[in-house]
Amino acid sequence: MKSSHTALQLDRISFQFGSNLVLEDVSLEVRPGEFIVLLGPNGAGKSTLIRLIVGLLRPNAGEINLFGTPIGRFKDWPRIGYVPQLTSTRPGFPATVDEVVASGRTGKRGLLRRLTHVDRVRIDSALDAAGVAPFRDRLISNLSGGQHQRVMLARALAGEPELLLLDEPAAGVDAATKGELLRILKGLCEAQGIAVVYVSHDWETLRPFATKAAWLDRRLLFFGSWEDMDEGGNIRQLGEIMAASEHFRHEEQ
Amino acid sequence: MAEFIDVLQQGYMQRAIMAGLLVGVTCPAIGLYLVLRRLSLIGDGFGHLSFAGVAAGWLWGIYPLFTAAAFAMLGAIVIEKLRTWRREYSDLALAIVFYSGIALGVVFAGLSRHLNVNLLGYLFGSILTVSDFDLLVIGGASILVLATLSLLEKEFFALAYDEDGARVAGLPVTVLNHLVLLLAALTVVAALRVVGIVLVAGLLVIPVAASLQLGRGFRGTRTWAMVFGGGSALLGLMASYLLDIAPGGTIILTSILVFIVAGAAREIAGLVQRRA
Repeated sequence: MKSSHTALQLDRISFQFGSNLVLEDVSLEVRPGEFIVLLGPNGAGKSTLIRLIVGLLRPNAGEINLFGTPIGRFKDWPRIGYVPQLTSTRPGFPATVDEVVASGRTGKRGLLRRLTHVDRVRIDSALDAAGVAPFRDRLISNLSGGQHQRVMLARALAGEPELLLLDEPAAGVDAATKGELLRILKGLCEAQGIAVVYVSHDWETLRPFATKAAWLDRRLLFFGSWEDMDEGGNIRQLGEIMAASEHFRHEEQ
Repeated sequence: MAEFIDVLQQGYMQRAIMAGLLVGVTCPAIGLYLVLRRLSLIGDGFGHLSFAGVAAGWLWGIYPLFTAAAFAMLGAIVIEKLRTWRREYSDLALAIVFYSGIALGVVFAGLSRHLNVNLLGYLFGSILTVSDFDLLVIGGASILVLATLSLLEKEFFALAYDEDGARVAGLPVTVLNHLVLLLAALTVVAALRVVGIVLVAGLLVIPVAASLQLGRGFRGTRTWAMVFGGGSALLGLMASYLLDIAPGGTIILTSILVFIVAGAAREIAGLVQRRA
């Protein structure tokens, strides 16, 4: 099943927090250039799965392969880009947009090595690609949520990732900014062959951009193209579950 | 003033100025990382641990700053282990380590019969009695801390901004976290003779707090924090001589004054901007 042509391969992953089984027997494969949207209600294990893939958590069972290498032996971390949720950002941190985006080159350049002219060119490209170059000298604490998430995308892009994982990057961001972010990502998939895994509740907005959908609710209930999803009648069921989840989320708030 | 200029020619004052400048610049350079990682009070803890080390030095007949460095750095490793082991109780674990330090210090000092003799000099600083050897140790520690911070600037920035992001980027986060605390412990020991165990944490964080008022980026904030720290040490030393008051306390009070002025300047600039 292992293939060097996959960016990400999950083989029967299970994970539990204490006695709470969060993920059970999850398997999927992501190839270069694919844009996967990871859908599911609150508490479905989406963020946990992303944290497992980037090595912040370890699965209780199963195997994660990154570019054909088991995660335990994987050393080429600059090939992985990670954009966390907006809630994990640092308000008041004294840093400019440029400084934060430049920090995305740290892993690529390596320990104790100064950034070079080549790094500077990549940082500038990332600032341009994410559309944040015009406010590169502004403090990140003065940015809106949407601008901040574009900066986080630029930081991830500065490392020239081949697999980009985004954990609800547009939650709490307006529709226009979300659309812009998705267009940028779609462009990166098509032009540079970057594989994208995007966690979201908003399947309707994602549909025109994502090549495949993964529907998670502790177990992987569906993984395939939107057409396959339509055919099986899954899309109607998904819509109902997501609407119920959104309603529950609003009630909670 | 002529008398002050005259005293500048004296060796003890030249050593005091050098020690004050070195410590004043180094403390906020590492303090910035502590503040940004919400570890502002950890310097206080290292002060407590250093006290145990100083007293152990008296007891065992070893140069006190060496034993202080050993105790503070060992404490830094224990603290980092406790911090990551049970995060929900990390403040409690820190308190236990710190009070262990001060209790050990009191016991060691009592045993060595130094409880009243040299204690005040270490508790509140004794910058005017800094010896050539003290200065060498302070200088060595300061250069080591500043050089490490400079070499690992981009790694420490990435860690301070987003620890998870740094981990995903493949940085050795555990090693870097230990290193930040070890450098902080070493800095505290270097500052003991200047501002003392009780006040040392102030020099780590107050110039940083002043610098944060200026609303600069990371490098700007760090540079201004170092300028404020070094400036506070020099001005405080000068004021303490002219007013004949305790230098350690005066240095910290000067840094607080700088913080107040920076805060006021920020408010005034905001008002002017809103009116324009």
